[in-house]
Amino acid sequence: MASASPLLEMTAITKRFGGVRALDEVDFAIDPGEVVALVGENGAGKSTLIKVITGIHPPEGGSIRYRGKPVEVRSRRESQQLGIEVLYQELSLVGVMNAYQNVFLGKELTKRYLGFIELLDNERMRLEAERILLEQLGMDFRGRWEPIFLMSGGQQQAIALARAIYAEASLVILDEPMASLGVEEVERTIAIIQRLRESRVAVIVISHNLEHIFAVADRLVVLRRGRKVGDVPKDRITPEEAIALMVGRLEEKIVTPGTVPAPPREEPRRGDRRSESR
Amino acid sequence: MATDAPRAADSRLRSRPFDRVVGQRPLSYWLTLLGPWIGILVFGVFMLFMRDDWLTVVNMRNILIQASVFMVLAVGMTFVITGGGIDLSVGAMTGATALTVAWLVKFTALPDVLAIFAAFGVGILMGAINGLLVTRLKMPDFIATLATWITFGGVVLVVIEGHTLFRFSDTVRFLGRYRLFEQLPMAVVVAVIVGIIGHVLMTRSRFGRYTIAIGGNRKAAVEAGIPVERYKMFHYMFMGLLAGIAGVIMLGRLNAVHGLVGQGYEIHTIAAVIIGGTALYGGVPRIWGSIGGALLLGMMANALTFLGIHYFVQYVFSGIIIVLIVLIYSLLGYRQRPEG
Ligand SMILES: Nc1ncnc2c1ncn2[C@@H]1O[C@H](COP(=O)(O)OP(=O)(O)OP(=O)(O)O)[C@@H](O)[C@H]1O
Ligand SMILES: [Mg+2]
Repeated sequence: MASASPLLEMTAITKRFGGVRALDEVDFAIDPGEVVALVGENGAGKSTLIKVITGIHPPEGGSIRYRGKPVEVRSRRESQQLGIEVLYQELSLVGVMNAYQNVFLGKELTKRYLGFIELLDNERMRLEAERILLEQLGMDFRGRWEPIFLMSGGQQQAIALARAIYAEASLVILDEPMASLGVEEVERTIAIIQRLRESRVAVIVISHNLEHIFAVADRLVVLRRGRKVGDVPKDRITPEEAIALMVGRLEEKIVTPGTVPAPPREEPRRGDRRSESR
Repeated sequence: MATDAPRAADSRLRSRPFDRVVGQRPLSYWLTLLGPWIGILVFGVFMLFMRDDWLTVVNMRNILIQASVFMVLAVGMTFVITGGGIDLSVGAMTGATALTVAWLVKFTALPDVLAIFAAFGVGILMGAINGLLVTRLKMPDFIATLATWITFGGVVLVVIEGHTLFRFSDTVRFLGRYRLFEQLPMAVVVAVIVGIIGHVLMTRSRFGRYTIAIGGNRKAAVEAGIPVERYKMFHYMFMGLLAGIAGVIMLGRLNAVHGLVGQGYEIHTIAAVIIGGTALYGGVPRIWGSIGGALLLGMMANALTFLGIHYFVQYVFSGIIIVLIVLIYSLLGYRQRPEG
């Protein structure tokens, strides 16, 4: 998966909050179908980096490319249009609604009657949602009509992910997806992430649990006080090393050369990118 | 984790149509769903034993006509409440729209039919005022409609100056008095149509789905790209339109308006909705429950009159009934929403 150009490429991103440098010249890149774990101590800047990607906090400095093209992401809507979906720990689902109603919320399928009456096609939405959940996420939701607040955390997460899949997300960001899940649910979430990778969706996972991270990620990116201090493929780093990077016992370990891209040129065409890929 | 799917499927080998109806819903779900209808049945049987002249065609028709105004209002209120709001001004709006028709036909040359449509327009306008207060001025729904309740009611009192306007044409009284095939009251037909439209809107339209989403989790609705404020606006305007219809029905039935017409309707309407099983904090609608709740309250009001209990005491009874119902629902431990 290193052959194509990165899906997302951020260069020298800087973001300040008053005197705090939440992000200090951070470079970050991710390929389609790659799973990157974003780790760091509390306040390291993980959430801020995500908010830059999603357009919630436009950065003061640096540049962003998506699918090789320079982009400015100034709002959540703009990032959504690029195909970026975020799942926060408290999932943005409507608890009183059932699974398919949540999967299709805001994107309902309709059917015309008598040529002018447009009504929701609940049956088609249900079948489609069940199909996505079963085929892409391996979860059986057939016959589940109850509101989702009666379901487990893992099931709710699957529904949120089905939403992202239906939106044809190319990049899914999971902020602390496994924090409140049981053992079996964590396993299931890891399986879901692997399925996303198989369908060439890029995934960024924020987590404090190194065990989960090493189970699921291809690469670790470590932030410390707003700076990127680690960027290493999973098999080139140990959990001890990762912790050392997080707390500052180890100064820096950047192994992947391709994540620091060449200086941006004028408006490169899509095809040109091969030359500067890793 | 592909092995997971068949395992999960095995544990749920029940037939799909059965699931569709029963699903994984708790028993208490069914009790609240059927609550108003059980109430109607029990109360009906009680009245049968109390008075053998209760179950007559004339009396049943009276109950239905009386209840139909509240059925219409309760359908609108179900949308408002499900969307996370509340409208305390419905009684005042109903009175104001009735007065609009009366005033227009008495003091202007406007044809009767147009006067009726003007009343619908006035209803929508009043609803829009409620909506603007809530969405633009960011007033809490409760406060905004409390203010307009007093204001609309006050305007009615000022315009009517303590008089009563009465005696209207058959056209004006069509919705309130006309009988289809000489038997079926038009008001009841209207209430049923409003109920059907309300049900279809709630279950099969974006309007309904987004109403549930907004009342269920406003933040999630915003993140799903739903224009929340626009839909809140629609809720109040829809409520205003239905208040207009209710006002015209009421005018036709009473054949008169005075300054206090519509008073207390807000409490009656909200009570019907709650009895019907709609969650007071939004997100869980029960359109047919609201219709049933209005019918149950209509039966009770009729029974109290039948048993010679004073009108004012009926208020006390209504209050007790509401408390009882809410108590029963919570004792059943029925969780309609996350976090109770
Ligand atoms: N909206 C904001 N206004 C001011 N300061 C902020 C804001 N958001 C974040 N910060 C600051 O920026 C720094 C990075 O915060 P961020 O939330 O990105 O950390 P994090 O890595 O996500 O931490 P955690 O693991 O606790 O979630 C912190 O010092 C934080 O106080
Ligand atoms: Mg954070």
